[in-house]
Amino acid sequence: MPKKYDSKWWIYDQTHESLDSLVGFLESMLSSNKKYQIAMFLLVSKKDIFELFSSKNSYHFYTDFGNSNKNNSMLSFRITKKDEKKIKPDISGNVLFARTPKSEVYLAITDEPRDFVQFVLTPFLKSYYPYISKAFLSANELRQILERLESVTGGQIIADRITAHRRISYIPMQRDESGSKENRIETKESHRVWTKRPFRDAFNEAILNDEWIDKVEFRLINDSKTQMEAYFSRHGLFKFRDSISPFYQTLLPFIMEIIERKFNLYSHRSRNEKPKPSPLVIELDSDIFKDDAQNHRFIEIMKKMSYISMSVYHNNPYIHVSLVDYLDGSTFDLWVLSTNKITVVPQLRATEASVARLMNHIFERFREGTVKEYEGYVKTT
Amino acid sequence: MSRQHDPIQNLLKEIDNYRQTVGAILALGTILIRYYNSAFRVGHKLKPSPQNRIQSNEDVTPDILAQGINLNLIGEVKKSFPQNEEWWLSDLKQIEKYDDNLTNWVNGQVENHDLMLLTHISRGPKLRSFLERKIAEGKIQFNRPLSIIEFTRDSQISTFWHLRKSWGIISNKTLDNHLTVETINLNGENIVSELSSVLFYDSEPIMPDLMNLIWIKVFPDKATTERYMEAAGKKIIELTFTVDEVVDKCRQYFSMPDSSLPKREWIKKAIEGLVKLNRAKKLVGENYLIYYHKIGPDTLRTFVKEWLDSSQDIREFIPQPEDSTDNQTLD
Repeated sequence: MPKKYDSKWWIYDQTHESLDSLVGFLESMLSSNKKYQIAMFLLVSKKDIFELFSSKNSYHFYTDFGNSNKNNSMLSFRITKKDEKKIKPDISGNVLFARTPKSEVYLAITDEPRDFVQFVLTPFLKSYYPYISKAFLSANELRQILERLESVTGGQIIADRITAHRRISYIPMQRDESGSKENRIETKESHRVWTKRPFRDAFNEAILNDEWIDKVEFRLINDSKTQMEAYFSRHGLFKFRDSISPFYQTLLPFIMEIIERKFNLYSHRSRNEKPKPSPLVIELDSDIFKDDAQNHRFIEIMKKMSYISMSVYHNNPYIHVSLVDYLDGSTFDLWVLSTNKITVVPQLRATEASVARLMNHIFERFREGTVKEYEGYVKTT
Repeated sequence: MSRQHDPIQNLLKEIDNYRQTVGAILALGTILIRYYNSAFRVGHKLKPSPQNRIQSNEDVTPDILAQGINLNLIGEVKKSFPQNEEWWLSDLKQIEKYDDNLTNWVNGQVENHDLMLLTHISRGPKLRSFLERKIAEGKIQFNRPLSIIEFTRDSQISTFWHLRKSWGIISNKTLDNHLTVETINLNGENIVSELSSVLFYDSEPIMPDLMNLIWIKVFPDKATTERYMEAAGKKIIELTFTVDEVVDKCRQYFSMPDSSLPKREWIKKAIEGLVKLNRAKKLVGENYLIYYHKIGPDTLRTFVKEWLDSSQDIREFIPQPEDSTDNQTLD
């Protein structure tokens, strides 16, 4: 347990009346200790996650519930990941979950080290899929967020490191003699890093090289001083040093608007709710499917999505595949019937978490686009 | 093995042909619903009159029924015909059963209706000349207007279904003109919901396709979210189903309203097929236990391969690729 009056006691054991008061406390911790770091996940859930945590145990994790405040807007607890083979030591850490003004958006806040975030908190949250979803952000949205931070604070953002992944082209190889196995080049991505450059330059270069931005570490410079050091990832993980106020005051409401709008679009798509299909269209900014090789690349990329299986009905010149998400039973049909659109048709079950996971996979591995409602978008002529 | 003689490719092509035919039916239906304000059904049962020349005792199930103002149609789809032309006559005789005062229409009784034959463009010319010859020889007779509509699917910048009248008369002059002079070209994007939710016409699907369909579209909805969470995408989830449960789900979500499709015997055969592949187990009566888990990387291809491997003795009956009916290939 945290020692009385250390930072952990203040964050996890102390009762915080509101998110404002917690952030005020975190701000003082960050400003007084330059090495101190706060990590924050943005999460989306249709369910009340406080009730979810208390009613449903996560497999492979132990939780010790700690403090909650009077209005039940915050809940802290300690998570332990047990190594069932008893080879590695158990990893434990504290986390504080907070409600936000958006009823379906939650924050998970921790000052624990990176190993805890990566090996305990992330898989712990994943174990509640599809009830809890990551708040996926596209590279375009990350860019909008950083632009807003600059414009509101009047500062300049210098990217210290950007992690981007290259989308490798699919090169079909001949089948082997038996015809039983199809050889192909794996669609691995390479990592590229830029340092100490204005973030716009790095983003522009990534787009030119057909790379997708995964995470960005940057400094917000104001009056030649570093006001905030931060890390933003497209999987909704944010980390802060020096200060959290510019994020909390300027960006959080903006990001929550983006997330809410997106998940509203992804919601209520299942045919169990509305028997008539409710498709979504991903509009791409170029006629990428003019090139037949892109059809093969798209299919190979979709096969690599984790925990899904795919049935390929047609792959050239148009695409029709069906997907099953084996993490929650969501099912989809994907159609490419023109050169710049992918139509996603949710079937009997289609959770918003699964739709979000699917969209993020297409955006990351194939190409980013704009998701739109099918009804009213496709001309009925 | 050349691709032409690759049984997996041949079966996948047959599966695609089935889908192309369903697509053509849906394209026609969409036009009739949107522009002719017509009700449209696939697999709707009608009652024959006692005077029916072919089948007076049992209900008849046309592939297509359309009912609107000045437009009543019964259509039959003939995607392919046997190699032996002698058998064509018996196929066409089947259409005669709709040349009758049929009852149980969707929106009340109709006084008269048209007959329509829907076939792939590659079959059109032979069918036209055969039909004309048999009518001239008096071996077949239609008292109602009959037309042949040819269809094809084509992908250039976008994927379209094209429909045109190649023979005969449609009493509704506007539709006749529409299908003769202009032809109907429907962008697949306009019927993507229908293509994803109507998967059958009155012809038995290729069995591994049907097995795949119920595996990927019907079974996943049965398990609770909690069971999926526990399985974590890795463990087998055991599900129990009855044949009727699967039939009802398919008719509710993957067929037109009021449809008798898919037929119960098709579904039973598909579930028995899963038992044969050790992916399901027969319990008491018509209850089955499904060993549900991820099959990949391409579930359809896996079912096709397993079906072929388990059916060596029927391999010779698997249809060989016919004339190219499309300009696409399955790679």
